Amino acid sequence: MSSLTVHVKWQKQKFSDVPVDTSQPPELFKATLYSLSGVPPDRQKVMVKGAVLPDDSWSGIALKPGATVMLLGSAEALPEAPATPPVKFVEDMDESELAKAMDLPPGLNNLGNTCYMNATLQCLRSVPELRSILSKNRLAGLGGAAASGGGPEVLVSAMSNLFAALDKSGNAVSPHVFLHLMHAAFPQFATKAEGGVFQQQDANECWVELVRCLQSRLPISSLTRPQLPNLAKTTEAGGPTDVSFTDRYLTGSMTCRLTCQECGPEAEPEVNLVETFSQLSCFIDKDVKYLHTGLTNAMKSSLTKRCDRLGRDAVYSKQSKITRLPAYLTVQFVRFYYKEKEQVNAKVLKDVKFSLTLDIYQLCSEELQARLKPVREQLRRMDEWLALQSGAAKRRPGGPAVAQGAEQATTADTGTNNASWPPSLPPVDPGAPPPPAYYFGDDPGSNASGQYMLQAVLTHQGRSSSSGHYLAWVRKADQPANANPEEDVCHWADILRLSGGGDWHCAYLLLYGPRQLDRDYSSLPPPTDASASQGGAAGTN
Amino acid sequence: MSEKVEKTEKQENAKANGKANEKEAKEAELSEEDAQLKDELNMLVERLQESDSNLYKPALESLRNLIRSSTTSMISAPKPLKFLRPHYESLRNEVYVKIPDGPTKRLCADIVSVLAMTAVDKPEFRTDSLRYRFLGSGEDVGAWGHEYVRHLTGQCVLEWEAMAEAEQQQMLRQRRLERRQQRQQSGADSKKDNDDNDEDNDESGDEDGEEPMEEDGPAAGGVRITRDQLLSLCELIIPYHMSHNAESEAIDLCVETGQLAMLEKHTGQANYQRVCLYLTSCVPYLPDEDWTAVLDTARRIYLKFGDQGNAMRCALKLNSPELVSKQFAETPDPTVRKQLACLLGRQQFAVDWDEDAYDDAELLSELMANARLNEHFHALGRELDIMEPKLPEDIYKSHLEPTRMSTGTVDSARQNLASSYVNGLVNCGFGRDKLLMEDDNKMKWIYRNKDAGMMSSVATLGWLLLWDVDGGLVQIDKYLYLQDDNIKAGALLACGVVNSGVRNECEPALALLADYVENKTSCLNKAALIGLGVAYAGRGSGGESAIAKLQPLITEQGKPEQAALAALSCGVIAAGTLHSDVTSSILQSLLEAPPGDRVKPLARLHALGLALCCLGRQEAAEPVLAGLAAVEEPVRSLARVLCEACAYACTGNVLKVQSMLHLLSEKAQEEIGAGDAGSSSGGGGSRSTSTASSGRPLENNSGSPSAAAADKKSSEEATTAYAQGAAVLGVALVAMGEDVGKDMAFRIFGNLLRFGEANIKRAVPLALGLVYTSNPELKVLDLLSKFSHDSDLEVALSSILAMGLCGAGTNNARLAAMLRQLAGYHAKDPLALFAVRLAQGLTHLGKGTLTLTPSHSDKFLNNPGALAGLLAVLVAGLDMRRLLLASGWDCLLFYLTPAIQPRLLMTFDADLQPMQVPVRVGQAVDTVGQAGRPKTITGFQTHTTPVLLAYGERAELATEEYEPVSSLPLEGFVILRKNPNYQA
Repeated sequence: MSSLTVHVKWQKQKFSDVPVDTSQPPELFKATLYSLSGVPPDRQKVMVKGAVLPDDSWSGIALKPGATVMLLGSAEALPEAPATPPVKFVEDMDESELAKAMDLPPGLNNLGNTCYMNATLQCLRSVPELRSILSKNRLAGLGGAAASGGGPEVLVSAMSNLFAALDKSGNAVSPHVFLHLMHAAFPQFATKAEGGVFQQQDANECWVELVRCLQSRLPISSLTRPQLPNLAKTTEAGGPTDVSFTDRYLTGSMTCRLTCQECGPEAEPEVNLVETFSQLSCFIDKDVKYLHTGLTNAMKSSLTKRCDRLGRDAVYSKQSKITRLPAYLTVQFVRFYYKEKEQVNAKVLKDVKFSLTLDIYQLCSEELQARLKPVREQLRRMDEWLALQSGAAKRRPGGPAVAQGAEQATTADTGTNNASWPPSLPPVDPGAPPPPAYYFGDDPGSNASGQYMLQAVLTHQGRSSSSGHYLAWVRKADQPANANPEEDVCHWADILRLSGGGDWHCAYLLLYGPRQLDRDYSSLPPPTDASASQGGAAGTN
Repeated sequence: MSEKVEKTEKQENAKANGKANEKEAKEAELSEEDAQLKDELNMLVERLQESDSNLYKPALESLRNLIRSSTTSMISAPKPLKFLRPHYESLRNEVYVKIPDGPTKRLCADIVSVLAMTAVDKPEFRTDSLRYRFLGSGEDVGAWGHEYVRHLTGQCVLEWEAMAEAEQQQMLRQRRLERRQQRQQSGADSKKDNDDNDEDNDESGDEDGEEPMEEDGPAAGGVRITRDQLLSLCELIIPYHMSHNAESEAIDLCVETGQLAMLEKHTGQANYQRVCLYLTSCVPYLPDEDWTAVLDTARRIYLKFGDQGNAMRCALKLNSPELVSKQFAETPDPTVRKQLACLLGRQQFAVDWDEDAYDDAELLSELMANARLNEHFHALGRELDIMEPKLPEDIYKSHLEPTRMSTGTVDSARQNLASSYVNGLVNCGFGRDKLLMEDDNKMKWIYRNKDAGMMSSVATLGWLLLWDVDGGLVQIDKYLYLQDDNIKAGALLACGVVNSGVRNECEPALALLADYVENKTSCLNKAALIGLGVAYAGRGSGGESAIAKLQPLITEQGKPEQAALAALSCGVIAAGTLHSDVTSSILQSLLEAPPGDRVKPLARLHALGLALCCLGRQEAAEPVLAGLAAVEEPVRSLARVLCEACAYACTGNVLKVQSMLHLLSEKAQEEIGAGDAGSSSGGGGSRSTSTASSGRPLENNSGSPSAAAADKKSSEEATTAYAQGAAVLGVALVAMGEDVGKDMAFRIFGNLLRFGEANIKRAVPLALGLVYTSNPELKVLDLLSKFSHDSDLEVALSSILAMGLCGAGTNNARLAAMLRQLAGYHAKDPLALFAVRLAQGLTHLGKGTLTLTPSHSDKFLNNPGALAGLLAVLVAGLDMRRLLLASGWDCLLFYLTPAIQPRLLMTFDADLQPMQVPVRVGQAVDTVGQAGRPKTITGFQTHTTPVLLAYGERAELATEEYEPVSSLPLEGFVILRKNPNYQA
């Protein structure tokens, strides 16, 4: 038994008549194969009739002359485990980790018809400045100190505690303490139905109370905020050193011009009043189909007042112009009216469309409009860039699915990471100054552009304010999340469907936040869309 | 006597007075011609009734002429017969009797025989045509027309059956007599009395029953027909039928009388194809003992007329290695032999053949080994332009799903595993993908899976590189050198999977896996066991060396997991062979298994291994069933059901289906029984399953009776429940053979879903998946879709998986939409979502070019390996949560691999070079028993090969230029040659 020849199959190749000497150790044969195939001997697997050739002996291998032998192996490097840290799987996470990873908003448990409060809290919580100031207050011990007292102060500290708990936990939190304290502070919410269950309340009332509570009890200390000149504001509580959060971020002001309709504008000097507001109301009349119409209508109203000149009551028209815009604008749909007959707060189900962005430039006074202009110009330029890029992404064949219908609705983030397409934005220089703030430099907490984007929606389902169900829909990074106990994520289209007109949830309160610039566009040239201009040229020819 | 007859006639008239009025009215409308004919006939009959014997002959002759000259139309009986009908009895009982023997009497018998056609509705005249035919002159059988022959055929069958029955009775009586004599010799015994009494009763009953039959003889004119007489008549009838486009009747006669040789003799070149088609289509409806004979006859007829291809199909259906080898060796034409080799390769049938005898031995062995399957499949992919790999997301199309989870960047091990499977299934066989084999991130995806998920992910490489032994193993090989056991195990499994359905003389699968079958590491061990089973599935004697490795493990003690997988893999390899070593060792292990192991989910797989050995063997599997009697419950019932179902798989055997259904109704009965409070333990025993009641030791019941009874009751319920799931699959398995059975099974399943117990309901969707594999019929999808939303998660899971099986490899858009909707519906349940993903992957199996159905060759043959693989997955699916979809056990899904086959038609020239020809592809039409040359397809479209064939579709060449070398159905790989008669 000595040398014979075999055929060796290796991948798709075949080496014919390879000599084998079975009296020699198999290494020799493997060396021959190495020279033929380039596969190092330790990576070779030589297979003969259902057996692998061992390294040391030919035992168990019956090799016939002319037989076919299969060589398995390659000179390729072995694959290596990736350097990235091991993946943490959903299955391995506990609930809080899960919520963190999935970036799900933590929910608040319903403690028996407390959804009005939960929804209000979730909406308020979507204001990042409020969260940060509450947590600062809490750390500064203000909350703790005040906790011994009663009333609104305790409520604020309870709110900060509650928000902290929500931040920490991924699970739903039960706001027992807060509810208790709120009932203590505002006994009107503590009414109980027969059977000892709390009654449903009007979320807007709760909202107003909580905001008022924040106004009086949440000062922005001079330590945390630069000293600012007091603007034309009527602040009831707190001097220039002690501006409340509500005043800064949630309250705007407007000037109202009262003219007596019977005397005419010339006859009597106009009365100019300065009013503050924490909410704009949208009255739902017959002709109001859009939010903007409702808001505009609310700017003009009439009231009856004693006219000094006539010496009797006369109808005055009231024309308001906004002089300061808060960073966070609350809009209330006045959906509930008291029906005498049924003695119930009945609801107007009418469909009033609102949009994801809101521009109330038109409602502002001329001085304010002038001040708003520079930032608006920048925003306009940002929009141009974004439109260009989302159009490009759409046009690109097989491009990433960023142009999907639902995601179009996201206003702020789309496309900025899309740097590869020709008319791309120059990358942000890390050393460049941060983009202009949304507020006027001399008035933190104001809105410098008159443009808002939808931040949270509080909706109601049901036929009267003291029944039914309230939900909060809060914006996440680019998707709104339905932040009540059922942790759901939905689409922009679903949000727009909340406009009313049926028995589904209707928007009751809208919380608009400021539109922000992602960079300083003032230094950028206006984008030129090559293809668009080409198309235009073709059209003129 | 004549008075009597008149009386009876009068009575009848009186009875049917109303009718008679009508008749009279009709008669009044008779045309002149008819009236004349009637008068003439009446006159002739009267003449016969008179006593002048000289007139008999002319009268009879004119009668005969009148009858013969009348033309028949399809819608009305010939006039003379109609008018003579009232005289039938008198002609039969008076005229015939009084005519003296001689030619006249025979002539009279002829006339009576013909007229008897009008009197078959009276039982005493039922076979008169036949009887008087024998008394008659015996002239040409066809002289009286076709209808007469048909009557004779029918009566032959009746008579034959009566004879067989009588003989059986006779034999029984004989045997009993003999026994009694023996016993009397052995002496009286007190015990014997009882038996004797019983038997006496029986006998008296028998004799009562027989008497009328003996009376029957004289009533029919004193004729006793013998078998020889019948056969000689058959000899005349069959050629008549054959030459008059009535093959089906000839065949029915032959089958009923068992005279298949006669059929063979009288089949001609012109009609052998139709004869054989009818024969082979009969097979599912025949009793067990007949079907082999019928198939064999078809085979011999095919052979007689040189139709090697179809003869081979029959031989394969007969599952007879000898016949197959013999025919393969005796095929004269080398090109046809190549075609046969393709067929053998598709069926995975191991043939003994002498490689030195042929010049093209290498090519033949390549064809039989499916060595080029991968190459041809790639050619198809290029032709259809679908080589570009797809990502799981391309299948999910999750942007179309109704609700979207913002899972975002978080990895879910289960969903990533699902994506691995989907990736493997979708790109199956194409050798390229975007997750595992992309150059830069080879390992990244693997590490995005967890533990056993890593193993399965690597193992999907086997699907990607399916059938590509030469090129594929190298790409898997490198993972074998890694340290991580899960990855290594995955690579091992992938090696086995790649080799599935492809033979290679170096047997790389065995070489690589054999060392690991006893490995201590569970995952390596598991991978090797499953891998071997998949690689050698259905290989029969070709997998002997693999069986030798696995078989000792079955009986090894203390490792139930290893033993169960070894048993299953052995069963898959030895499917349908009744391999004696395997069956005996599985039986032994079932006997010896400690009681704790028997109830584990894996015991199902263990028992299935045994059952698979019996696949399609019908009665030959009886010894195995007998061997099970000693096994303890609950495995015994389960194994019995599985074995029986497998033994009669695809036969459409109604009796077996009934016995399974009986088992399914068991539980309901038990509950009714439980209603009677305090039913004794004995009662419980009698209510135990019919299959299980034997052999239970009585000692169980002694001791504390009440406790034992309660105990037994619960264990019995568990037993029934355990076996019932298998029984549901059994119904599907038996019924899946032919279309009528399928429809019946569907109805049955509908009822079971509505009224069944939970454990039955869970199995039904899987059974539907088995019956309708890769055949997404709308009614099935609708039903499954309904139950995929069921509140019982297990029902939902099996429905979802069954949807995947039904749509496997079809790209069915409707199903895809249903599954997308389901993905949204089950978005919050990871297990259900996993199942939905799997179903989506299955639906797009091989981008819609592959199929899972084990049937091929015009649904005539079933690939045993494929069926075994499917069954392994489905039986594992009976316990979704603990087995098939459980983490670490999902690798059982790889047992599907043997069932994966391309559903293509590819054409080659005689040198096996691919060739493109136009073909028409359309819905297959059932042409069995139709006259002429009916179209075999409908609604066809013309394509150029290679082309995909959907389930139930058939192809035919659209060009005269070429013809197939054999008359096999155009499926898979078909060799063509130039048509010598072709003129351009």
